[in-house]
Amino acid sequence: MIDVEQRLRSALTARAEQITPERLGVGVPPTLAVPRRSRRWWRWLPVPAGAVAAAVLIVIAAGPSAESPEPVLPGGPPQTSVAPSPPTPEPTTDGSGEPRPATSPPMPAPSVPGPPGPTPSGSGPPGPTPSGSAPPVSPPTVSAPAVTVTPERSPLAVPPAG
Amino acid sequence: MIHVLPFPPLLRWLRRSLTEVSQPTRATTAPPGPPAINELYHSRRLSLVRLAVLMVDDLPTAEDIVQDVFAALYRRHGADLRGVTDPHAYLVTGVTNAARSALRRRRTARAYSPPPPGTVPAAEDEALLGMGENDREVLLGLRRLTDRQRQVLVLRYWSELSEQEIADAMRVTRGTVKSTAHRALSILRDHLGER
Repeated sequence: MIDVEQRLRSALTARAEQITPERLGVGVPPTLAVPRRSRRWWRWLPVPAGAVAAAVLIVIAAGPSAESPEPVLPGGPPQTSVAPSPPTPEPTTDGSGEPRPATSPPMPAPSVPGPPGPTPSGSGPPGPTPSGSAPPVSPPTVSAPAVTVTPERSPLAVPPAG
Repeated sequence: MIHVLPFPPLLRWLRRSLTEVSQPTRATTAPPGPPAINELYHSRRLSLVRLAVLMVDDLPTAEDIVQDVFAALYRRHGADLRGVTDPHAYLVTGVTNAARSALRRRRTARAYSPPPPGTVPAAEDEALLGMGENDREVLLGLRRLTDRQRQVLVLRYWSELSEQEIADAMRVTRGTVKSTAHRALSILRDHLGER
């Protein structure tokens, strides 16, 4: 092994000594061979400035959505979904200034002659029917505005037979 | 959130500014003369070219390697080599890595377009013509080794570096250097016919 190392050293030295300064090319020092670096570092300045501006815009745009919802008090009433109430027709006025139901069709008056009651919704005592059956039940949609439209409904009622 | 500092020009400018603030009289008290890298170039060029020749075998490639390493050193650390703790180790490491890259490129090029046989000898073969029989056998045996094995032997038996210095230059562990050298010597001994 030692002989191999000695032979290796000898061969490497002989090969290296073949390279003499005369065989080398003209050496150009690196300060002359390499172009000087440009000092225009300020050319990079718009890049971080643009990044900062973009970050500010993102923060501003994301600001309102970052608000937290109001906390629910532990002792407060539970939030339940309220069922929508049945639509109530708003009273409208005709030319005479009298309020009228807007959408509900005119309800037929009871066919039984009787005293013109002020309320067809059954607020007063129902009159007897000829068939003797139970008094008709008025639809619930009429019951709410019934108070205000009663004066207008009596002329539209079916005239009593006879 | 925003990484501004990794921009190399800004970082360099900040570093230079801080250095000038902390050492304001350094530039005025520096002795006039050639830059440090030029002195290093004139004093170390020949030995580095020899080192590269032992690794890549031909002189033009070795000269290019050394020139590129000096250019990279100047480009990275400037003419006064501020910030380089050991320029010699830096140069040896650079030559070693560049030689390995040159050998890889040469191998790839010859794999795609092999030279026609029987024509002009390659530059590395021409170098063996003026050598003795004994040394030529050893150098031919070196060509049988891998790039890493050959570099370990050159750094150890010509540059006379220690195992740790070779490990630092090649960026491997000391154990790797030791085992690589042992394996390379065994191959070389088998080639030379010694027991």
